Amino acid sequence: MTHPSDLLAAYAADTISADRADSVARHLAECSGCTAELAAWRRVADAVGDRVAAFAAPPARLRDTLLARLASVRGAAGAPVVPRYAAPLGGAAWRRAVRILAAQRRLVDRRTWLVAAVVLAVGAAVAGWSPPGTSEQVLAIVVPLVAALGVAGACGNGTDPADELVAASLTGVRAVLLARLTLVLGAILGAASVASLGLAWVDAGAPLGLFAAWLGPMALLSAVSFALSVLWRPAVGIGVAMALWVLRLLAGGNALDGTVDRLVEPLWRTSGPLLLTAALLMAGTVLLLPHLPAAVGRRAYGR
Amino acid sequence: MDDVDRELLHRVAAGDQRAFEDLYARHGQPLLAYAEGLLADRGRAEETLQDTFLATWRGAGSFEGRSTVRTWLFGICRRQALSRMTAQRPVPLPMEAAAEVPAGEPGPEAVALARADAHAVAAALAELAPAHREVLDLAFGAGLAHAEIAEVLGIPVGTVKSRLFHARAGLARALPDDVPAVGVSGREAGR
Repeated sequence: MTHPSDLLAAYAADTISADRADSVARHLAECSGCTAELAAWRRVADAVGDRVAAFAAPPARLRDTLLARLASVRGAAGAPVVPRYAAPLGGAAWRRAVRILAAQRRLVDRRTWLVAAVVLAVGAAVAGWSPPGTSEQVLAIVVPLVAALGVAGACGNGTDPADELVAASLTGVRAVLLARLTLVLGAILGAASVASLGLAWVDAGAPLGLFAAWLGPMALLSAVSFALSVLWRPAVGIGVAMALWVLRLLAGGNALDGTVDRLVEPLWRTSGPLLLTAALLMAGTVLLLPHLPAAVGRRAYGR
Repeated sequence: MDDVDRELLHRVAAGDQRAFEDLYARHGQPLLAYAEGLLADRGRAEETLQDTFLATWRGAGSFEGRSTVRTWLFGICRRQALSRMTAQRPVPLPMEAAAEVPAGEPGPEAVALARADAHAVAAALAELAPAHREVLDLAFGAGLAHAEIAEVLGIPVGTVKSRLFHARAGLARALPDDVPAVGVSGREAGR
């Protein structure tokens, strides 16, 4: 017999569904242990109920003050009831965009930036040291990985300590997510570009070749990671991106047969279709975001 | 119940003051009690309630239906209350991860609680760690479901359940000494 121990508190508070309450009641009829547990919960519930009941109800003047303040909120020169962006943030669209971006910088976990910077720096150093002609391969391995992890860390579903605030703020979830993606990808793209130019300058490779080595796979891996992290959860996004990455590593090391090689290799070539696929994947995710079922946004909700 | 709240909030977003008053009538009292439990100060609790509803009035349009309206309101109220809690922030709770949920046999604390009289339990409640009192207030005072409490506090449902058990254990420990399990063992020894 399993005891419904963790339902008894909710049963005492009368906050579980009727059919669950029925099954608990049936169990209680034949289990003295759980009945004693329930008695303890009832004692707690009564004490808390008494305490809360001792707090006086909101006085009428409170309601009056509140309604008066309401009128002043609304009555300000016929301002709209729910203020829009334009008011708090200033007119021009580009200025609003800049402010949203600046706000995201503080909200993205600092560790995301730190890890991305360290890995990129180490990768660039290794690429600089490696024998001529292999710098591209190093960049093709390092940059996409950093981008995929960074995007999952910054945009992933449930990773944001402030997401309750974001949900209650006036900025749409799409704008926030897009801003965050732009910021993270932009920063990594910028850093990788600087690294490539630096490598080209020390004659580690041709500039275009260096760029082409990482741009395509970075776009694809971060798009895959982004879509899965947002629509599902970060662990899945990171997992799938890492799987692609490891397959490519193994294929490069001749550990796998030709089939896998032929499947993975095109993903590591910068091409129009590849970049288009990545862009469509990201755009689709952003478009889909507001239409996700309610529970997806909140893992903690537990249903 | 939430359908009614959603409808009301929808109208509030459109600027309907009557709907706002209805929403206040439905939730004002439990929210004030929750705030007063958190702050232990009537004046600041009333300010919290006002600011909660002003925030609701301004932000009704941004409610996205990710949670119930009631949960949303409690979440706003909690933030408003915490921002007023400058001096005494709630003490972080030690060691909550391991939830020892008893099964079958009632523990000594359950026995002690079930025997204690209402005054003793009320006195013990005043001794409780603020975070434990808060979870009890939400569960038994405001009558929120465990999933809703999880949402308001930003913790997993499993943690809500274990925190409730810990709160109850703390309550039993804070009972005056003459009531608890000593009586049980004494009787057994006498047999």
